[in-house]
Amino acid sequence: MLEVHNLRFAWPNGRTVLAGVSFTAAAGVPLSLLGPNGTGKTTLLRCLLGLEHPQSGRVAVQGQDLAALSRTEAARLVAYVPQASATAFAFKVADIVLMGRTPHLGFMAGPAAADHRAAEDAMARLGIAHLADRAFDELSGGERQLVLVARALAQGAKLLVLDEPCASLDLANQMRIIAVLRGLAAAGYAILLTTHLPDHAFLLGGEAALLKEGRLLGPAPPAELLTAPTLEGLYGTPIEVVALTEGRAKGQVLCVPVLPC
Amino acid sequence: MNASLSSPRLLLGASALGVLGLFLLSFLVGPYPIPPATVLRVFLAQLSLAERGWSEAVEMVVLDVRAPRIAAALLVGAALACAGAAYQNLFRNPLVSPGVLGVSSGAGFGAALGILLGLPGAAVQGMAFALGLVAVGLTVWLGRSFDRHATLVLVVAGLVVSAFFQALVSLTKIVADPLNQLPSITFWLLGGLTRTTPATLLGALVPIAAAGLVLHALRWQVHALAAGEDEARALGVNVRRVRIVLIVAATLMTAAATSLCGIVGWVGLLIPHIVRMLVGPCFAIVLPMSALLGGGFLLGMDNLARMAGTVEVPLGILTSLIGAPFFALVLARTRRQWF
Repeated sequence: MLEVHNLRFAWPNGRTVLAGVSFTAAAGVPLSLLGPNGTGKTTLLRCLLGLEHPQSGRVAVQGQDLAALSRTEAARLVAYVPQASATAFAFKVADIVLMGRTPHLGFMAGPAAADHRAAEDAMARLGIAHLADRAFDELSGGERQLVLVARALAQGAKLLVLDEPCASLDLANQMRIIAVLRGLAAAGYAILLTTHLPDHAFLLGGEAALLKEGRLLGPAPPAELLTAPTLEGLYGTPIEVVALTEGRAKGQVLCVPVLPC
Repeated sequence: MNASLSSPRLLLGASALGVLGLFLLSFLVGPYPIPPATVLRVFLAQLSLAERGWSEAVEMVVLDVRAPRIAAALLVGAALACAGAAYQNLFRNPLVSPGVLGVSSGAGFGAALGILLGLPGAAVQGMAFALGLVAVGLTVWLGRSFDRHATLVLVVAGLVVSAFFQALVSLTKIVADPLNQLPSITFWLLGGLTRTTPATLLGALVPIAAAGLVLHALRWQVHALAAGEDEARALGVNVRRVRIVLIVAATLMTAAATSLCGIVGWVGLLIPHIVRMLVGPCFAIVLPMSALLGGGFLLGMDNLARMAGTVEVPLGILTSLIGAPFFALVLARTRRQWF
């Protein structure tokens, strides 16, 4: 679904962010991207969305070279789920989800019945149809994140790129988002997300990749890649990785940071 | 969702009817009293549906004096409100007014210069229009030389350009002949529709209608732009192109409106707020609703100006006198947190 080949990106001041990053992401296998603050996870996502232009390298979605596509064509292939922030105007949830249909509207035309249906289906699929007429700004953080996922689904793209979808959410909402993403992956979506919590990668399954100093480690199954020595090397802080041996979460792998002394 | 859309549509229809009613009533307003039945018969006579039985003065007042002025009020109000709504979406800031990029100051200087040079009315209008565009051109050029991509920088550049042209206006006033030119400049800057003729009306109608159509064509892209530039790009919007086209269209509208009636404040700020309160912030419905309510509001204000005593109060003073407190009221009611 997504092929990234030898991506290089440097800021105008010469600081290299991506020094030759290559990977692929397949439909049905969610890919969690981890890395310390400021390593360029967001820059990598922005390159995949066409928001930044890498100096060299190639990004292809469903076999099509992203650099050769118009904005509209690219938006039908890749959808972006940003971190939920306040909007400038008091939009209703339905207004926001309907924005996802923008790349499908003809010249001069407004959303047709089919577009309204696509937006309704996306909300129903995530169980937020009842929020359609609520003001976006009045929703909880978890609900807002689901609305933005619904907008991405309405967009009709099969590759979803999510920037820290679980950041600043409480535990229940984190699990809600991860369950939703697992469901979408199972339904054939390709999913790429960034996170600061290795536990999310374990819960999500699929694959994980680590970004450090412009280079990518992985993708590989989280159990193989996210070992204590690797994570310690990545974050530069003592970390234990343990598997629970009993209880409801038996077998679940946890990443436990240790206070450095 | 269609059900939730139907109530804004209903409000749109109701507003259209209300503005139509105000339009008809406006023909009765003025120092020369004409009974409603006569006004109606003058209209019907135009369609050869009624016999002429009135003086030529009556027909002249209705068709040559009141009709252009009423049409101008509707046109100017609609243009300012639409341009304000468009700029507010572009900058994602509901406190932006149509003059944000310097078009009003530029147009004011153009008109003042035209009056100083003793040009005829149509040429003064042309000067105002042209200098309004020049001012926005300067703002965009200045903004680009600061930072090519940032939208907010444009607001700062607009402040700079506005201040510069306001200084030029003051300079023109100092130089102007205090008996003839200075009062004309002052009255022009205060705003009013007394000078409207069918020719000046047509001169403003063409750019405003064209720009309005362009904004209508872009309405869903502009809606997506409210999500922010990055998100809009990811939603398939060619942000750079939409931004340029939107600035050109909103500037053409404001320059044309200002060149027709002088500087009339508050319409472009107040009306989109009321509209969002009534029908929500989706630009596709905000645009037509702003056109209707903006036109209706300015027509109402101009009627007040025409009714108020022997000396006509300049329109710009009225819109500020009524618009400013009304805006405060609207802010108190919406209670949105912007900062």
